[in-house]
Amino acid sequence: MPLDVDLKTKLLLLAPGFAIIIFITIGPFIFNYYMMFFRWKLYDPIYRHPVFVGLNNFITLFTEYSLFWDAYVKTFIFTLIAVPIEFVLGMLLALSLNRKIPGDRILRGILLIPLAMAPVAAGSIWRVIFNPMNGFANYFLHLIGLPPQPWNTSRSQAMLTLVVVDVWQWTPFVGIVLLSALASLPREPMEAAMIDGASPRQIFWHVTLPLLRNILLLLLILRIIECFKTFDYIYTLTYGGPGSATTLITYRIYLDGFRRWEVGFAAAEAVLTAIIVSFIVVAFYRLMRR
Amino acid sequence: MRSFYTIASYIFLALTLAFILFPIYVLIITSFKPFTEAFSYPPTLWPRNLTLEAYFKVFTHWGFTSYLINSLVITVSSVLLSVIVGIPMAYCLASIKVGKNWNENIAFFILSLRLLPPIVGILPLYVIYSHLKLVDTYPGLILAYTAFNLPFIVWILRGFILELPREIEESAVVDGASVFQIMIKIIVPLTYPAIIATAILSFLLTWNEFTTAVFLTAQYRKTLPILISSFIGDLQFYWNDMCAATVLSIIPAIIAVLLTQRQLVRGLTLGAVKG
Repeated sequence: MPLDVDLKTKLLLLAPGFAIIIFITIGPFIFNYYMMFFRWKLYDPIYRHPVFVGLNNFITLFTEYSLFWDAYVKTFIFTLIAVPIEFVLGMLLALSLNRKIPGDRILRGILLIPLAMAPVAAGSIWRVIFNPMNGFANYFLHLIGLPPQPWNTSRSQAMLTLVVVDVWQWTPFVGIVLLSALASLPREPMEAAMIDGASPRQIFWHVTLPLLRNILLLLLILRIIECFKTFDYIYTLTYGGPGSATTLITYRIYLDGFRRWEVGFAAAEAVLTAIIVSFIVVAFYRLMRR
Repeated sequence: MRSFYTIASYIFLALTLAFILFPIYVLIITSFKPFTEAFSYPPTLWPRNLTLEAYFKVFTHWGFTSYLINSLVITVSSVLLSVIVGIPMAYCLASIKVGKNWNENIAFFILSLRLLPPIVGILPLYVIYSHLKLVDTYPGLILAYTAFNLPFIVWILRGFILELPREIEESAVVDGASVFQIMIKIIVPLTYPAIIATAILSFLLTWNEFTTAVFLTAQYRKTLPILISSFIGDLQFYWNDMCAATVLSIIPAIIAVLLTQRQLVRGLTLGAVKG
């Protein structure tokens, strides 16, 4: 039975927080819907003052500016490679740790280190390792007799290096969360299956995994959202290149908004992105409710 | 069969551990290498010349101290502000009837603000900030980070408050306590550990945040992640300095993570998994 108090008290409790959220988050977000109608280029002699262009920015986006959709293709490729790897490795990690092993407390502590690392720092360190001239990656390849690779400086491998950094940073997170989820599962269904003579593999696929369904869906949506936000590794590892090989959606909006200073156009991109991300979130929310 | 799984899991754990620890190892040894060795081939797995050169240079040449002060001021202030503003919000949305079905909806709406890519909001915020002369200022950055931390703090703390037994509050109401007395004298002391853990977790996220910081700063208020990103460019490779700066700036983050181990999972899954 929730408390019922007068309006003034409710306002006193909620208003300060809402004031900040409206000023920093909601206000600017709505401002996007205004900016998207203008040709507005900051620090430009002519277009520094916004010029109303109606839906022109969207017409450009849908007809000629394929780089925007290319960024979506890159984001999906990145997500489709990185997230499944993180889930398979994370699940194996959770299953391996979900038993009595010596030193498991220390192990869990180590798993937390990538989470503590700033993503920019993670990108920078992997850049040191992947450096084509004298990094450890090519040195190890040399030791086992393989030719050196161009890694982050080549169109075909740059995406791979981003995936490695993402997998490095997020696999432990997936593993730790799944480990907590495994530990909180009821024991009876597994024991019943064991008594019925199910093999460990059968128990995993037919008992454990279905019990974890909602947690897995939640983790999946968190990871997908995070992939759309990917910026820091790109900024330190590949600059979105070579060419536009690793320009994911956040980096594309950054290039248009903060490098070309086309803020009106970038606002149109931001609005479309917000709509697309909302659709994905709502779709997953529905799935989880089922 | 049982031993097969055991052996397989040990091998898997060993490989995963090597994968996770190798970059950390590279980070630490590179920070103790002199400039020429950090960039030599073949790379050395143990520094031939152990030196603190990079650590000194980070302070004397790169101005580590001013970045550190910026990071501390911005992170600590925004976490404090968002906790102070967030507790009443969380309490109100957990215990007080705001409107028919509104509590849940408002809480989810606030949370959803955090799900969008930050760049979507930063671009217009930058335009607004440059008009208000808030770019590259402490108030501007503290407010921005407070707004980013609030949804997280409100959502998690609301979950903790909802778990408290209702009878405590109800008996306080019967005893004639006001809403504010209940909040400060009952709710805050009871959820104290959760508040601390949530605050530390927000500290971690803010401390490491880069996207907002890089756009809303220009010269004077740059934070540590910006410093870390500035060592390596197309034409400069101060690897040892970069690693030294990273080692120094990761220390508070590691302490934060170890302090919140138990609440970390719950926090990072937005309360869905209770660690």
